[in-house]
Amino acid sequence: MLAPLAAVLLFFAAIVAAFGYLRAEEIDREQEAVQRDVEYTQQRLRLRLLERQEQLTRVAREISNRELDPEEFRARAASMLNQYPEIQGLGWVDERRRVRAGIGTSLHGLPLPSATAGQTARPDTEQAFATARQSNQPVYLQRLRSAEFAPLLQIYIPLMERNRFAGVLLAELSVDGLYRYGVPDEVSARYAISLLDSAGALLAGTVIPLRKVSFDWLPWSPRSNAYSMPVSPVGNGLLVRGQAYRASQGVVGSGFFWLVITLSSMTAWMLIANFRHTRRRLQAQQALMSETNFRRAMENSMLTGMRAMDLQGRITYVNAAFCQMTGWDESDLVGRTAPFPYWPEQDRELLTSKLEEELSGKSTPGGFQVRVKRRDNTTFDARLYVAPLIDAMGTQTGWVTSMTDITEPNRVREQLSASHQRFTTVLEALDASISVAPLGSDELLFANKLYRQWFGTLANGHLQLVAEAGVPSSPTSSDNDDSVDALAGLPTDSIADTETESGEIFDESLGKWLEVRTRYLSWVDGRLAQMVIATDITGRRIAEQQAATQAERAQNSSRLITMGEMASSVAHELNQPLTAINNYCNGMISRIKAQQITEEDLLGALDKTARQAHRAGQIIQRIRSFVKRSEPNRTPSDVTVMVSEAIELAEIELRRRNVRLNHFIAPDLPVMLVDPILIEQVLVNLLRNAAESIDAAQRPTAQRLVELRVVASQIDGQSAVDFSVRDSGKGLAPEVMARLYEAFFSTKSDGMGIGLSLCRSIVESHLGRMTAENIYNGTEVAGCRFSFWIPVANVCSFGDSASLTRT
Amino acid sequence: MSLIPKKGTVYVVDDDEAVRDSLQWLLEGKGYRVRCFDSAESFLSRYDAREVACLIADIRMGGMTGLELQNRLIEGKSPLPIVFITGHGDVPMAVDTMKKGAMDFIQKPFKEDQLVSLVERMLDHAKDSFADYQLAVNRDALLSKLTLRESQVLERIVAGRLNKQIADDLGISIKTVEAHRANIMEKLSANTVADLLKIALGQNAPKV
Repeated sequence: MLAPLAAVLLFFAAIVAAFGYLRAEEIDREQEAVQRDVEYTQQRLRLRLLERQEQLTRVAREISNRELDPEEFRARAASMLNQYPEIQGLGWVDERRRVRAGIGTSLHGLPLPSATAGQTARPDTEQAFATARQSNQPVYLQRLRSAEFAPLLQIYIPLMERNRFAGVLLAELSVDGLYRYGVPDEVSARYAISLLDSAGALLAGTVIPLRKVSFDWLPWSPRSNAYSMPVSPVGNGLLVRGQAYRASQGVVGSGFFWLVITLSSMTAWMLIANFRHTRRRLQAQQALMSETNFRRAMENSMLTGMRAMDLQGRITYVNAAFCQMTGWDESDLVGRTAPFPYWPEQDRELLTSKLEEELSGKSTPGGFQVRVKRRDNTTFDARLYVAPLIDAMGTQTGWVTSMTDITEPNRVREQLSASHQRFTTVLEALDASISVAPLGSDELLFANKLYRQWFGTLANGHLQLVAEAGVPSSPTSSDNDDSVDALAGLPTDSIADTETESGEIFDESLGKWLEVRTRYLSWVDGRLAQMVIATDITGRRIAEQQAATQAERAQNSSRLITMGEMASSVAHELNQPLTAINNYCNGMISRIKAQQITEEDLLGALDKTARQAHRAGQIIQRIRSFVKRSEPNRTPSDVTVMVSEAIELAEIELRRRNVRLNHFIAPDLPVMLVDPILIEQVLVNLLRNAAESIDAAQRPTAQRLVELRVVASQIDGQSAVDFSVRDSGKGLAPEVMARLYEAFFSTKSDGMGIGLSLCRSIVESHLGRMTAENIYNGTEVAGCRFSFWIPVANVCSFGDSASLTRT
Repeated sequence: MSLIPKKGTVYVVDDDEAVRDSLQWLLEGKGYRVRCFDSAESFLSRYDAREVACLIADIRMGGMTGLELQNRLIEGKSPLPIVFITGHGDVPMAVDTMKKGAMDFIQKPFKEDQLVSLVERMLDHAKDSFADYQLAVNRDALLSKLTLRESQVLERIVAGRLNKQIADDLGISIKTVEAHRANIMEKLSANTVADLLKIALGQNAPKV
C-alpha cells in the first residue's frame, strides 16, 4: 500500500531533482556564455579604445615634438573625426588650459577649465586634468550624462615638451558611438548590451526591464542572467553589461517541464487507478473467500450426504456428511469405482443395477431407498436422489447424488403406524359406540367396532341416536328466526368448540340404556361433522336404582334402629298408661267387691281408663308412622306439623332422660317441599343426641334443657328454614368434630354411627346444609348446637297444592 | 272410704298425672288416706313428719328425682319409710335406694296385693319409727334447754365422773358443779340420776 506511494513520491523527487539539476546546468552555461560574450565585447571595446588612444598618443607625440601646428592639428583632427565616428571632438589644450585648437561639436559646449576664467567648472574635469598632468599618462574620464549632452568619454592625453607638461590632448568619444561601433553585432544580437556609468545609469545600449518579483520562486523564471564588467582602460567609470534574451530557451525548458509534469500526473493517475483496481480486486477476493468459506461450511455442516460421480461412475467428490454417514474418509472414496466400499455385500447386485440405471439416466425422481454399510459394518437406511451434474458450459460432466439417513424417519413412521394401530385398536375395543357423520348426509365417516356391532355399517343408527337423544342435529336455537340456515354461516371452529351435549336414552332395539353424547367437529376434509358417542349405561342405571333403593332402605333401617335404641324409653312411656289402666281397674274391682262404689265414680274411673288406653295407642301409632316403610315422597309440608310430631317422638326419650325441651317455632313458616318423615327423622335424631349428651354430662336438673328453634332465614339470598337444636352437654371434642358425619363412627358404646351421617345426607338431598358447633360459656363448653337449613325456594310453584296434599 | 278406719297416710309422688291419680284411686279403695304430689319439691314443702305415714315415689321425675328426694329425707332424719316405683331398666338405681334405707321398690305396672302388703308393712314400720322419732325429738327439745356449760357438765355426769372430777376438768368449783347439776335435773324434769341418764342417752337406753 505504502510502497507504491513511496515509489511514486520517489519518482517525483527524482524528476524534480533532475529537472532542477538540468535547469541549474543550463543557467550556469548561459551565465558562462554571457560572461564570455561580455568579456569579448569588453575586449573589443578595450581594443578600440586602446587603438584610439594609440592614435591620439601618436598625435600627442607629434604635438609634443612640435611637428604639428594647430592648423595641421585641425586637419588631422578632422580626418580622424571622419575616420572614427565615435570621436566627437578633439581639442588641444595647453598647460594653462587654453584651447589651442579644437574641432568637434562637443568642445563648444565644453566648459574647459580656464585660468583666465578663474574658475573650474567641474571638479572631475579638473581632477582628470590634474591626474594627466601628474601621471603623464592618458586619463579617461567618463562624463556623466547631463541634460544638454549625450554621454561622453573624455581622454586626456598629456603633452610633454622637453619633459615638461605642455597641456593635454583632449578627445571626446561618444559613448553611443563607441557602443554602436565597438560592440560586435553577433553579440548585440544575442544579448542586450548596455554601457553603464559607475552609478549604474544607462549610457548607451539596450536594457531588458526586470520582471515582476512574484515569479522569482518559479524555477523557470528568468533570473537576471546578466554580466557586467568595467571597460578596462576607462576603469570603473564605464561598465559594459550583457543581458541574455531568453525567449526560446524558456519555451523549450517549460515544454519539457510540462511534459514531465503531464507524464508524472499520468503516472500518478495510473497508480491511483491501479490502487483502486487492486482494492476492488482485494474486496472481490475477500467476498469470494467468504463465499467459498460459507459454501464450504454449508457443505460441511449439511446433514445430507453429497456424492458426485463422473460419467463413468467414478466418485469425484464426497462431502463431509457423506463421509460421516458412511464412516469412510474422503480419500477412501474419491476415485473409487463400483463396487463402493459402503455397499453391503448382500445388496451388491441390486446396487450395481441401480448404479447402472443411474448412469444411464433412468433415475427415479422421488429417489430410492437403499441400505448403506458403514465402515464398522453396521448398516442404515438411506434415501438417494440422483441428478445430472451440469457444469457452467451446460454439458453434463457426471451425476450428483444426495443421500439422506432415513433410519429415524423410518422409525418414526413405524412408531406412527404402530400408534395409529394402537389408537385404532383402542377405539375399536372401546365399550362405547363412536360414529361420525357429516351433517345433512347419510354418509358415515367413521364407526368403531361397537357401532358396527350395534347398528351395522349404515348411518341410520347414528341419526337415530341423535334424534332420540333429543340433541338437535343443528346447533341453531329455535327462538332465533333467521338462524335456520345459520349453520352454514357460522365459523366451523366455533361450532366444533361447542360443548359436548349429552342425553340418556333407552334404545328398545338393543334393550339398553345408552348415554349419548354428541359434539360437532371439523372432519379431516374440513366438513362439519357430528360425532356421537353412545355408552352402554344399563349397568350404571341399574346400580343407580339399586343405590337409591339402598339409601331408602338405609333411612328406613336407621329409623328402625332409632326406635330400637329408644325401646326402653318407649317401654317406659307405654308403661305409664298401662300402669294407670291397671291401677284404675284394680281399684274398681276392689270397690265393686266391697260394694262401696257409686255408678258415678265407676263411670269416672272407666273414662280415665279409656283415656289412658288411647294414650298408649297414640304412642304406638306415632312410632308406627315413624318406622313404617314409605316411598320417598316429597310433598309440600307444613313445618309446624312436622316439628310437632318429631317433638312428640323425641320427648319419649327426653322424659326418660329427665331432660326438658323448650321449643320455639316461628309463626308463618313457609310450606316446604320435603319428605316430612325424613325431616322428622333428622329432628328426632338431633333431639335424642342432645338428650343423651346432657345425660352423659350428668348435668343437674336445672341445666337439663334442650332448645329447639325453627325460624325462617335467608341463606345466600334464597329463603330457607333454619332448624337448630341446642343442648347443655359437654359439647364435641375436636377429634369428634372432624369425624362427625363419618359413617360407623360413634361416641356411644352402643351406637351404630349411622345417625348423623344419614342426617347429613338427608339434609343435603334436600339441598340444605348441616353444621355443628360448640357453645362456650367463657372457656368452658356449655353445650353444643346442631343446626341445618333447607331452602324453600323450590316449593313456590307448589304453593297452591300445598294445602291439598298435606295430610 | 269413710267406712274403713284410717290405717295411715300414704304419700304418692309421681310426675305422671295418670299414674298418680290411678294410684290414689287404687289405695283409697283399700282404705288408705292418700295424698298426691306432682313433684318432690311440692311434697317436701307440705310434708309433716309428725304424722305416721309412708311414701311411694317415682324414681324418675322431672325436677328433683326420687334419689334426691330420699337424700333430703335422710338429711332431715325423717323416719318416713319409702318405696320407689321403678320402670324397666331402673333396677341398678333401685338397688342404690335400698342401700340407703328404702324399704323396697316396685315395678310398673303394679300388682295390687303386692302393693297393698307393701304399704301395710311400711305403715307398721312407720309406727315404731315414729315413736322413736317422737322420743328423740322430745329429748332434743329438753337438751336444747341446757346452757353450754350445763351440757358439758351433763356429758361428764353421763360418763360417770364425780362432781369433784368435773370441777377439776372444767376448772370450776364443786359448788358450781352442784348448782349446774341441780339446774340440769330441773330442766330435764329428772328426779334421779337414772332418769337423767335415760333422758341423756335417748333411745339407746334400755326401756323401763
